[in-house]
Amino acid sequence: MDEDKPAVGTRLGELLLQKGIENAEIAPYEARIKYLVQEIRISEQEKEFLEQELSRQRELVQNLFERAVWELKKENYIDAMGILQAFLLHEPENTKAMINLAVAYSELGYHDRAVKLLQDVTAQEPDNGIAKRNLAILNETI
Amino acid sequence: MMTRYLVFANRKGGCGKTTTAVNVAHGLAMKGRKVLLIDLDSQAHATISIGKPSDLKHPGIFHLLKEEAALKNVIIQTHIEGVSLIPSSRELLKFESEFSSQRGSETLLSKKLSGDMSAFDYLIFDPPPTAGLLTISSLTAAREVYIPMQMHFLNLEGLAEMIRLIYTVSAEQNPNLRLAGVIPTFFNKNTRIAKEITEDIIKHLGEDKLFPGIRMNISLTEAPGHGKTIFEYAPGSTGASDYMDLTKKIDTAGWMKPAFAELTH
Repeated sequence: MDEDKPAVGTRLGELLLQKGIENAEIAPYEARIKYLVQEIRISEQEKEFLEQELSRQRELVQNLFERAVWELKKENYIDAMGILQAFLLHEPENTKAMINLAVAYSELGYHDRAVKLLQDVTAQEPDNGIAKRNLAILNETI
Repeated sequence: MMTRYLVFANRKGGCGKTTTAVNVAHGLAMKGRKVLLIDLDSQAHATISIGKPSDLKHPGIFHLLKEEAALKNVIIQTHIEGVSLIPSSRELLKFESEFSSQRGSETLLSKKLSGDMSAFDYLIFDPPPTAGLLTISSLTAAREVYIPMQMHFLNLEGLAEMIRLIYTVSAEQNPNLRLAGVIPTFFNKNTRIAKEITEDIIKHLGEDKLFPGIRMNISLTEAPGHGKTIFEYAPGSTGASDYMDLTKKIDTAGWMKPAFAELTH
């Protein structure tokens, strides 16, 4: 037995170092900070992903509106109606889409629905000229 | 007093972890504290040490974690006034194997104990000698970790690993968790190795982290076989005296300040 060498062999300081702990007093704070930095990075990545996803969804909804206008121009009222109904699920208060859907309804013979929709628009936007004009035309037709 | 959440943990078996949990629980009760001892080891040694054989069949920690029993239905009053117990059983092995791979399962225990625990001054967890789910769960639920350890090299290596584990859990799961102290067990202060290890603990962890040692005492090894704590089995023994000193130190150490105080805005 060597009296000069420590009986324990490797000392606690060295064992802690082997576990990545340089200073036991500050190590828990360092570990917490490291974890929080990592969490922030993950949250930022998640936020970025969600923002991209949101933007993609908005683009898809906007595409629906443009497609509906195109179908209306082609006098393809059934498709236009379906697309506009889908669009309004995403943006239920979009008056442009409501006016366009009223056009599709009217062309398909659903006058009551068209009137109701235009009334909804004028209730929402009393100064909406297009809605008022279309409503007048529809009332004359009926 | 605010309820204190203590865990006696060490990955190394045979270091006197359960003996310490059971005897400190009784010691605190002798001082008039209300204690809930939570046996988290499938070996159920704390349950056997302090309870009755029938307690092993009583709904326990396994049923609580599996949501098969409510908290109030798994707590039993032991024969020791002031000490209640959530017993364990072999079934707990199934919990560990079933839930180990499930994300967030380490918080199940703390969630189960997140209600009003003011009926107790102390909750004492006795986890298994592993770094598995049940030990992590107890570290996630506790505030103060005490590490009972023998003064041997391999235990010193185990201590370093436990410290790393505590810091990891503290960083990721439970910012309130603190290493409260190291408890030398089977302690002989006259050996060179014991002196060196105590010096190391003081040097690297601070003097306040070195708690009163528990000397080797045959009564401590005999008591569990009789379903008794050291204070019942051999009240005049050095084991009883050492555990009372340790109990007093833990009780007066008081509630520890959380490592990371909550910010207000």
